[in-house]
Amino acid sequence: MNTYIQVLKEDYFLAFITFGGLVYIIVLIIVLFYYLFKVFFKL
Amino acid sequence: MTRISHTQLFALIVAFEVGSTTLFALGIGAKQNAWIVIIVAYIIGLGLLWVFTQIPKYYPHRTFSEILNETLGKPLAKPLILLFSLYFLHQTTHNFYEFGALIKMTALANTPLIVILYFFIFAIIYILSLGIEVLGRTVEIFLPYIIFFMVVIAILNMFSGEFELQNLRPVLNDIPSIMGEVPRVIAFPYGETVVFLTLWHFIRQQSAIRKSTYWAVGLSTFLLILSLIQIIAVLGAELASRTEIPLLETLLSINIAEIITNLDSIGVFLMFIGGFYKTAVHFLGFSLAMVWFFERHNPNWVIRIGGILLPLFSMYRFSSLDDQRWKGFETGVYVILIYSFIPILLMLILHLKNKTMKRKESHQ
Repeated sequence: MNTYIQVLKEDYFLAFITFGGLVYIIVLIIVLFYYLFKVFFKL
Repeated sequence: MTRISHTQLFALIVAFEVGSTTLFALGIGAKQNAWIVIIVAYIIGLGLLWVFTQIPKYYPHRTFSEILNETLGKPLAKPLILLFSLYFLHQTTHNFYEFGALIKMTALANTPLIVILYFFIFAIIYILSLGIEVLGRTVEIFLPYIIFFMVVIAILNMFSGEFELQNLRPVLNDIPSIMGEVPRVIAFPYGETVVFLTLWHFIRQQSAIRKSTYWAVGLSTFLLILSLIQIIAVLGAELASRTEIPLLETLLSINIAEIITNLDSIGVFLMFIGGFYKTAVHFLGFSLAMVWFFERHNPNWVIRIGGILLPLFSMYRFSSLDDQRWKGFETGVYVILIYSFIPILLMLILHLKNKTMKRKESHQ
């Protein structure tokens, strides 16, 4: 884990796409739950 | 719009998959069980490929950007397209630098790296500017040579006298180390095929995408296992894990009656062709995503301007081959896993959205 953070500290480009990707996974999970909610409650 | 056939897609995926995997002894962390790691990763990778090839089934002949816009809406789709384009650029620089450095190391020792990179990128710019059908036709020409050379290398290795099947034993002696290596191999090379999401709309026969992809990945996995078994049988697991380019080392060990020897030129050929297509496909993915982000139609301006700047950016990012490999092994693999996980969520959203739409239509 330490090496992972060390690499991210050295390469800001890599850090940007890593965190961007993680943030988007969270966003997509929220969207997924929104649609799941719609399907489940037949809205 | 220009289109490519499913045979060309097949050739492109095989060249892409075999591309940089010939450089590494994949899954060598599991020692002599590395080939088992590949089989396990292949089975899981097939699931991943099922997801990637399911997306164009919902929207055939539509670009990845159009699919994202329709699924998530423009405000959410735009940043995601930008992120994907940057991820493809990241992959491009990794492959581009690596192959440039390896060519310098193996064939053009006295040539400055920047010169090799510029010659490399000029060929890529030229082919990509002519369109994807030219990329498809060239790979169709080169693929038989790639397969032929890989099979010939395997046969020659078996008769070289250095081939020791004992090096592959004991089998399955360390299952935790096998499972530890599997995520890396899922990401590289199977997860990397996420870039083909940007190319699916170019395929003429949309119904053949999944079939061609599965056959291509099956063949490349076979070639991969074949080269891995040779590497371990000739070098042994310990030496294979320490060597910079294991396939080249196995080639150098071939000496049949002092006649068939010094076959490293075949290795350089395989490396260059594989690296070329791997870089070109990622670079095309980056260019297309950039064009979609700026809502333009012609990717040629990104290909040309981006291509001219690419060697400078690659040299800026990586100070040496060791630096590139360190960054690639420590974090690059996880980045690939992140970006190959996003399509899984997208596919689920697409499925649920389609379900709600169908229900609404049936109510009306």
